[in-house]
Amino acid sequence: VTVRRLVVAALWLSSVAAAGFVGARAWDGPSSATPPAVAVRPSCPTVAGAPGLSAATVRAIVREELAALAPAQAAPPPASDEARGDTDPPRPELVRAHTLVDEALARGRWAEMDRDRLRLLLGALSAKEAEEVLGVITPAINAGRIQPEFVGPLL
Amino acid sequence: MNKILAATAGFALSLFALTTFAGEKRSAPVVVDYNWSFASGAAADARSSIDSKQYIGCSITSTNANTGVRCSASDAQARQATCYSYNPEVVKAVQAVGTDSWIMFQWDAYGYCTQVFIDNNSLNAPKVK
Repeated sequence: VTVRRLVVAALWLSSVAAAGFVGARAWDGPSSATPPAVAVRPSCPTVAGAPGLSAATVRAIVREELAALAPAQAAPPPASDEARGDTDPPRPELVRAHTLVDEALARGRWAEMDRDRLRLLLGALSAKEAEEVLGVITPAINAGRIQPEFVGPLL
Repeated sequence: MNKILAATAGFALSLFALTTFAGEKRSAPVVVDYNWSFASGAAADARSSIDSKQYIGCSITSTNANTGVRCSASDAQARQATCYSYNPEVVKAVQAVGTDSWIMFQWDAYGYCTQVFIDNNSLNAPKVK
């Protein structure tokens, strides 16, 4: 009985895959190659050739099979902060961002160019790394330890 | 004489009508308060201020690595302040900022935005070019 169920599930999956193939090709416009005839999804609640199995049963089997496959496919990519260990050297963008901020602090001036360069560098950093840099420059601006040379968004 | 009276009455009526339907308004220039670590003001009022110093606003930045916000302001005396945040809730709040918004942001010792308050209200002046 199990083998029969699997065969029916495979047949069902094939027809679903064939339907998906035709749908995707529809975007490519008309093609000279005629696709093989596609079985129209029956409106009848039973499966052709297997009158003992209802469509609902087949769907349940397919769901079970797909659920068994899911864990291997659903693993999300690691977050950038988590992917990097504590012993890893800091990435170059982080070093450059710190250098840029340190130099501006030494000058006591914050130019528009500094802001724009910092923006570019921050874009390559993780949130944690960006906070590390912004946590230096922002309090310095707010405390007047560094003077902006322009009027406009400071960071 | 009657014509003058009618015209005067008409003028008075139109003034009354204008006053009646004017609606409440407020003017909110930019304030930067270092003691309380906050800045506030209406974007449109800052825009239409006669000085060339005032502004207030927030930016959202999004990359593959992060999504964050930065708010900045300058008052009429060119006192500037800024804060940043990568808190998704703060990012969500900043998405509500419009050209007619009244904005207040508060920062901590690290410059982190501890609060962003966005008020989209009929009291606020609309932005003019």
